[in-house]
Amino acid sequence: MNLATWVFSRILKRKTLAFIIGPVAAILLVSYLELSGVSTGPFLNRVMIFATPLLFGTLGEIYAERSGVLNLGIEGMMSTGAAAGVLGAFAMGSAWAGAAVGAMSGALLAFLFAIVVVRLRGMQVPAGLGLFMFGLGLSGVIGVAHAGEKLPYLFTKTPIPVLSDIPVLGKFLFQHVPLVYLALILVPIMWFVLFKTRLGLNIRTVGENPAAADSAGVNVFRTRYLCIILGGALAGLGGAFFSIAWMSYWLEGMTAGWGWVVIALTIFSLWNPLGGLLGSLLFGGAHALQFELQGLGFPVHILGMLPYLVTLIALITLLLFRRRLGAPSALLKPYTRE
Amino acid sequence: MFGLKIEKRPAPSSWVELGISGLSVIIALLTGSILIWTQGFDPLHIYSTLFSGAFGSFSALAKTLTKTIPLLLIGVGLALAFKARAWNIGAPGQMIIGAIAGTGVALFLPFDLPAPAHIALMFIAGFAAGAGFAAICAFLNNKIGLDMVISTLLLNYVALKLLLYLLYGPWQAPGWGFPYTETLPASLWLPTLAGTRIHYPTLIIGIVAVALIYVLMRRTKLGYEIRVFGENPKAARYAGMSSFKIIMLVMIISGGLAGLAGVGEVAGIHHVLKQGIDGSGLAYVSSYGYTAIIVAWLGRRSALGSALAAFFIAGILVGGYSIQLIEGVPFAMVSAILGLILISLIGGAILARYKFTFKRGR
Repeated sequence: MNLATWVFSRILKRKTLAFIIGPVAAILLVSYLELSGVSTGPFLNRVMIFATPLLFGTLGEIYAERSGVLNLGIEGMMSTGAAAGVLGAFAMGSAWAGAAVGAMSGALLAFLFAIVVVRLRGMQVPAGLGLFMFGLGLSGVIGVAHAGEKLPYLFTKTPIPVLSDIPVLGKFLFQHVPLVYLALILVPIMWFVLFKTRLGLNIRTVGENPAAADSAGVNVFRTRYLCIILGGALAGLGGAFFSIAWMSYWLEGMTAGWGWVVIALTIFSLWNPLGGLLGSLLFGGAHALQFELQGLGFPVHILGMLPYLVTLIALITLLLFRRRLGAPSALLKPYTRE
Repeated sequence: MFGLKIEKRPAPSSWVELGISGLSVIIALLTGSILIWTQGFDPLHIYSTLFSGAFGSFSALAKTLTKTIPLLLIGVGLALAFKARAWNIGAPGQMIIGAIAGTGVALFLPFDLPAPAHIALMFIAGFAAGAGFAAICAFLNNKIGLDMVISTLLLNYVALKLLLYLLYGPWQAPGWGFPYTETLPASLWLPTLAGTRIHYPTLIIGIVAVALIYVLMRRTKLGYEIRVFGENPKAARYAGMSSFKIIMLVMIISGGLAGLAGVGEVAGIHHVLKQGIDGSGLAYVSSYGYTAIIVAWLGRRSALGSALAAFFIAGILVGGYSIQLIEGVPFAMVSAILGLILISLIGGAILARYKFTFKRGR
């Protein structure tokens, strides 16, 4: 089979199709706008910024769910990551240290969650809700000392030489703070690890058929612990992005339900990091669009519904096309060796 | 020699269930005390202020009972939904939609009604709105398989934005520029027990709801089906039970009760529609709709248990305000402790399934 037919047969597969229609439509729209004299660069730049915390969270949650564990506590871990990130940055005088502290705080909370759902075999849905409330409360407790205080240690915008000069695309992807690049680089890496390596195969087997994985010598418990903790670290990093890279201060409730959007995007991504990128950009786009439409006189709060409704409608559309999404079979099921 | 023996427990007795709930609360309070201590407060002193602020005097008890009302209504509905493993996380939104509908009926009814009928109509509208909001999710779940956790949750934010739109837009009272509606006519205010804010008509509705759900769960075939469905959906389907019927029913009941709670808060306490009508502050997590999730689990997903748990959790909320006022502990501390209670309840559930005994061996 030559390359052209291979590419063509891939495109015709429905699953791939879903990943292609969106970007193609977006590219057409952007070219149309650019040709008719509208500058789309600044808008697309904002879309990428909004997408980044979601991308971090979604990538992590994809790994957790692929190993068979639904962690609904993303919103809690994100909030704590945002608050802990600011604390870390103030304490150590560096934005990078803040981001690291944010990620660690998310990982710690995820570890607590992992003990409950993996070791104690607790139900994942209510345990995740508990983590959500605990994390949100915790962020309020630890963050109150620096609430609203302007952070002097911020990430600086570092345009990538050459690439940032590409029209539109350069503004969209290559004129950002380093954390945005980190999120973008993680997408292919995490896709590769999940689908092309032994480790990824083990993770997916643990999520599909833990008993089979166990008899093949994979440590189901350790795999789940690692995936949950990785998910927590990325959610914490996504939260820290809010406070350190984007807003430059911390406020209570600043993650505004985006952790829940991550849960929706994980389904939308079909548990694939590439889909996670697409979903994050979709939500980021809807969020950015409301500010454009505000200028046209639409009521602010009705527009505020837009991102959540777009996410919901995207999921409904996806489900109308694909009856079975292919969620990991062992999702929500605690594993025991009895 | 002592050996730890772990064996399966057939069906835990009510005492075991109660013990697990108690133990979970204690573990959560102990963990919370570490958090309190790291913030430079004395945990013992904070807890004693909290509990005396909640249960220590007549006025404290009255406040606690006032906050019990919404938690009771929502909590008992969620207990039913969770029993069927219908993950309704949308109670905050359903409560807001109920409050909006109730206020709409109170302020904008185009014809005149005697006050009692008008109030009844407000509650009916609130129930219908909350139930309808929840039913959308049950419908999408059954027809296209959309996960209910996601749909109920995303609709929470839609409901919140709708409330803000109304308060800053068409329903805003003229003149002051505050995000409030006009005050309800005094004839539509719910009566309260003398000297307190306990709007007893809503409390009575709550108690009736507890009784009805108790009977439904324990004495009817439908209740049996709900329990079987929650334990083992596959077996329930093989036995010919309709998952659509069960999910739709529990969602309508839990959503409707949340709607009633919303109407109760408007007509019984605030007498206007405003932000925070669902008990939430900035972070939205303190909404009664979320707190009631803990109520349902602490009450072991039973009707009577949820009623007791609602009173206890309401006490923690009221006490939370007094430690904030008296000691300056941020209210978020209470959210954190409530979250810890839920986490340890779920972790502790293993005690209901397994018996741990120390056995003297050779």
